[in-house]
Amino acid sequence: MIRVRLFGRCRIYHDPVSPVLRAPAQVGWDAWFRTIDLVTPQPLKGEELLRRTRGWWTVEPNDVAEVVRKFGRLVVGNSGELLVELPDRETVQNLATALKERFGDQVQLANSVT
Amino acid sequence: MNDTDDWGRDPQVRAMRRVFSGMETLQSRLLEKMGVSPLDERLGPWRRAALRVFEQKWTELSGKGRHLSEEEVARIYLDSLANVLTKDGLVVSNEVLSALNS
Repeated sequence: MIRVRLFGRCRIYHDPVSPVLRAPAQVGWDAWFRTIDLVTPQPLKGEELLRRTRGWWTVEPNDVAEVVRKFGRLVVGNSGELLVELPDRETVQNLATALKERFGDQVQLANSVT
Repeated sequence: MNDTDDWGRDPQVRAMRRVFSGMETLQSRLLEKMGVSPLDERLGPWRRAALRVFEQKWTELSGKGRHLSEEEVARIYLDSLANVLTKDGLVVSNEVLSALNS
């Protein structure tokens, strides 16, 4: 499997940007009749992280997800990066072409090596 | 693209867009001339290293009170990236840089 990063363009400055999950959400609980001390980290899944780009990217994340799903799946990397997992290099190229046809230069792929 | 571009009304935002666009154009042209694919695995570390060099240079020059044009800022980034590629063993000729800087 090959993993590549997904970059959109910042709505303000139009430069390529990609979301990174720096830390998972810390979810605790309030209850009416008891105290719950439990706090659990809640990491985001790939499509959930992509959805967070709404209002930040120049394109709609749902539209991006629609294209990406035809070729691979969205995942979050070990360092919190938004990645697309694809079976081989040919599929990477096909996805790059499909993104260019749909979004022009507003969405790009980059290697995932950090 | 979003239908309304309220941010584009701000002249400073438009200026930064031109700067980033210039940087991206020079980066693309340099990598194309060097035969480096946009999906090359070395690009991520190169870009990060180039950004560190670029930010340091930009801060130094700005701190000296020197006003930099948008083109100059983009060329500083190009030089920073070229510097990183050279340190990593690639040959970035002066001819290539001159052609990109013209």
